[in-house]
Amino acid sequence: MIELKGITKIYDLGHMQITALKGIDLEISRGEFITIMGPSGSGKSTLLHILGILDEADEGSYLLEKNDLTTLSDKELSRIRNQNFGFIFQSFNLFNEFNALENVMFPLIQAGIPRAERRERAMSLLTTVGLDNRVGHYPNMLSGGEQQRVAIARSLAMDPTFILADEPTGNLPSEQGAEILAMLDDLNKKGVTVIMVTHDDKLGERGTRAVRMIDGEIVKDFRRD
Amino acid sequence: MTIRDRLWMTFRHLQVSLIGSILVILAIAIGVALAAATTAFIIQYNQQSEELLNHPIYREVYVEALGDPRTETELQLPVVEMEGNLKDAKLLSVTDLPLVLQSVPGLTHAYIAEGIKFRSTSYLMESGLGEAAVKGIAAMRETRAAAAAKSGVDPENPKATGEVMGGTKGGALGGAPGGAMGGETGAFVLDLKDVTEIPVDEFFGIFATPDFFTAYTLNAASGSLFTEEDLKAGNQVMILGSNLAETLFPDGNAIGSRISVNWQTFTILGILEPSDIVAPQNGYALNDFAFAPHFLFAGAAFGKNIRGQGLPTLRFAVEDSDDIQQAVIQLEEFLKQEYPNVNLRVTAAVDKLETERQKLSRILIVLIFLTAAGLFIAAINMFNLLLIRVIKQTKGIGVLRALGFTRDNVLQHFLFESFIMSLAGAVIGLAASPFLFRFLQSALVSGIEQGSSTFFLDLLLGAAIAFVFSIVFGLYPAYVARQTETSTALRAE
Ligand SMILES: Nc1ncnc2c1ncn2[C@@H]1O[C@H](COP(=O)(O)OP(=O)(O)O)[C@@H](O)[C@H]1O
Ligand SMILES: [Mg+2]
Repeated sequence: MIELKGITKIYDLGHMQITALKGIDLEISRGEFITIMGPSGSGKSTLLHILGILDEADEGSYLLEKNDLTTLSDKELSRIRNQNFGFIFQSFNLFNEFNALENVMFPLIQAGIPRAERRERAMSLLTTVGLDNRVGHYPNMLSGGEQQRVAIARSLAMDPTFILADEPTGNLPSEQGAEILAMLDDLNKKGVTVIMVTHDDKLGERGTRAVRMIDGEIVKDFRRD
Repeated sequence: MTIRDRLWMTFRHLQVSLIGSILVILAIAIGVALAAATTAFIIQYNQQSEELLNHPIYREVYVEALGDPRTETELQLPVVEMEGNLKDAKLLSVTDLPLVLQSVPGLTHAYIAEGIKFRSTSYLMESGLGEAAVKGIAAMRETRAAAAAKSGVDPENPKATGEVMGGTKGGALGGAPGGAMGGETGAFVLDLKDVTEIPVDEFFGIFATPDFFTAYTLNAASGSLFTEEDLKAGNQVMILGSNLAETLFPDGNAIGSRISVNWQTFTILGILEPSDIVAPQNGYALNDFAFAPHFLFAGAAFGKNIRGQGLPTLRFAVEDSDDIQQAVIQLEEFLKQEYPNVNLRVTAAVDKLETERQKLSRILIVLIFLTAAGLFIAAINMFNLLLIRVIKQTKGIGVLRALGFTRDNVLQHFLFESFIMSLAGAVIGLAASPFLFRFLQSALVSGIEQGSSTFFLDLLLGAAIAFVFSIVFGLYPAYVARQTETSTALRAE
C-alpha cells in the first residue's frame, strides 16, 4: 500500500516556477483500480511519475508498504521499480531495435533471471496478451494496439504489485483502446493494483476509484464499492 | 546483467547506427595503428641507436681533405700541401697512420678501408667491358707518366698501383663505388691459371689494412686474416665475409682457392666469423663483403704518395666510444701542426649518426603529432556519435530506468558501447600496425633491423595508449546518459 503525504512538486524554470503538485495526500490500497482524471497540465503525469519513483517530490513523504522511500539509494529504488511497478505509456515506449519477445525480456534481464526462464516467461506473457504468434516481430511491424499489448506484457514481466498507466489508450483507436482497458480490468480482477491516468472523463467511469485533479490538487476522490 | 546480455544490447544499439559505428571503429583503428606503430618504431629506434653507439662503425674517426684553401676550389685529390712546385709537396700519406697512433693517445686503431666493387674478370671480358678497361688502364698510365715527367717526380712503383675510381667518402662501407680495376704495369698479363670460376658477376669489397679487422672486431672463422707482411708485400689475398664465402664457394672449399676479379687474381686466405655489422647508410651486411690488403702499402709505395691518384680517407678508431670527442680534438691539433695549410676535416662517424638521429627525431615528432591528431579525431568522432546517440535515446534511457535499470547501469551501458567500439578499433588497428611499422621503417631508416623481442610489447603499449584515450572520450557521453532526468526523459518525444 502506498501513502503520499503533502507531496509538492515544483519545476524551476529559472524565470518562473511551476508548481505541478500542491501538497497531494493520497492513500492507495492493494487491489484498487484508480483512474486519475483531470485536464491537461493538471499534474496527473507528474503524480504518476512520483508514484512510480521515476521522479522525486520536493516536499512530502512517500511510504510504500510502510517503508519511507526518501532515504533509499538509486540502486534500491531501481530494484523496487523493477519488482513492484509495471509501467504503460501513451506512446508504448517499446525499443524499436528489439522484437516483441526481447522487449518483454528487458525487466527480466535487469532482474538477472536466467536465460531459459526469462524466455519462457516472456513467451507466456505474450500468449496472455494474445500475441504468441508475433513474438519475433519488431514494434514497427505491429499495430498500436499490439504494441501496447507488448508493453502490458513487459509491465507484467516481474509480476508487479502496481501497474501505472499514463493515458494508455491515448494513441489508440477506440476499438483497440477498449481491448487494452479490458485487459487492465482483467489484471485488476486478478489482484494487481492499477493506477491509470486519463484526461478522458468517460474512462473515469471504470475502476474502483476515481480521483479528479485540477491545477496540481486533488479536487475529488470517489470510491465506488 | 551478464556480459553476454550486455554484449547483446550493445551490438543491437551499434547496429542501429551501423555506418556511424563502423566509421568510428575505423577512425579508432587508424589512430591505434598509428600509435602502436609509432611507439614501436620510436622505442626500437632509440634502443637500436643506443646499441649503435657501441658499434665499431661509430667508434670511427676519419680524416678527409676538403680543398685547397688558396684557390678555394675543392681539392679532392691528392691531399697535398705545396709550396712552390710539386717537388716540395708535403703529402698526407699512409705513413701518417702509425704516426697518428703514436701522437694521439686517444686513438687505438688506424687503418684504411676503402669500398670497391669487385667484378668477376670473366664477366668483364664477356660483357665487353674488358677492352675498354684495358684501354683505360693504358691511357691512365700514359697520363701518369706524362705528369711525372713534367713535375720531375718519378713514376710510382707500378706494382703497387691500383686504379681506384669513385672511392667512397664518408664511411668505408658507405656506397659501393662505381667500379675499380687493379692494373698491372708493363704488358697486361692476365693470369687465369687454377682460377675458380665464381657464380656471381660482382660483389662488394673493401681494400683495408689489418688494423681494420681489430677495429671492427672481425675474426677468422677459418683460414687466417691478412697481415702487415701481406700488406707490404702486395700479396693478392682475400678474406671473405661469411655469407659471401657461401655464395662464392657453395661447396665450402674457399680457403686456398684463387679467383679473378677486376683483372687481378686473389687467393682466398680466410673466412670471417659471422658479424652483425651492417652499414647504416645502405644496409649492406659486412658478411657480404670481401677484404683485400690495400695496394697503397705495397713495396716501395709504402710511405709515399701516388700522384694523380686518390689518397683514401684515413680512418682511426677509439676503444671506448666515450673517448671519441676527445680524440677528435687531439687529432685535429696534430694535423694542424703537421699540415698547417691543408684543409682537412676530421669527422667522428658518430656525429653522422647524431645528425641522422636529429633528422629522424624531427620526423618522429611530426609522426607523433599526426598520431595524436588521428587519435584525437577518432576520439572526437566517437564522442560525437555517442553524445548524439545519448540525446537520441533520451526517451529510451527513461524507459530503461522505468524498467528498473539504475543510473550506473545506464552509465555502464553507454560506456560499454564505447568500450566495444574502441576494442574493435584497437584489434583492427593492432592487426594493421605491423604493416605500418614496416612502412615507417623502410621510409625512414634503412639498416635498422626489426628486433622482435620487444616488438609486440611495443605495439601493445601503443594500442593501450590509444585504447585508454578513446575510452576516456566515451566517458562524458556515458555520464550525460547517467545524469538524464528520468521523468523528463519519459516526456521527451
Ligand atoms: N519537466 C518539466 N519542466 C517544467 N514544467 C513541467 C515539466 N513537466 C511538467 N511540467 C509542467 O507541470 C504541469 C503538470 O504537467 P503534467 O504532470 O504533465 O500534467 P498532465 O499529465 O496532467 O497533463 C504542467 O504545467 C507542465 O507544463
Ligand atoms: Mg500527462
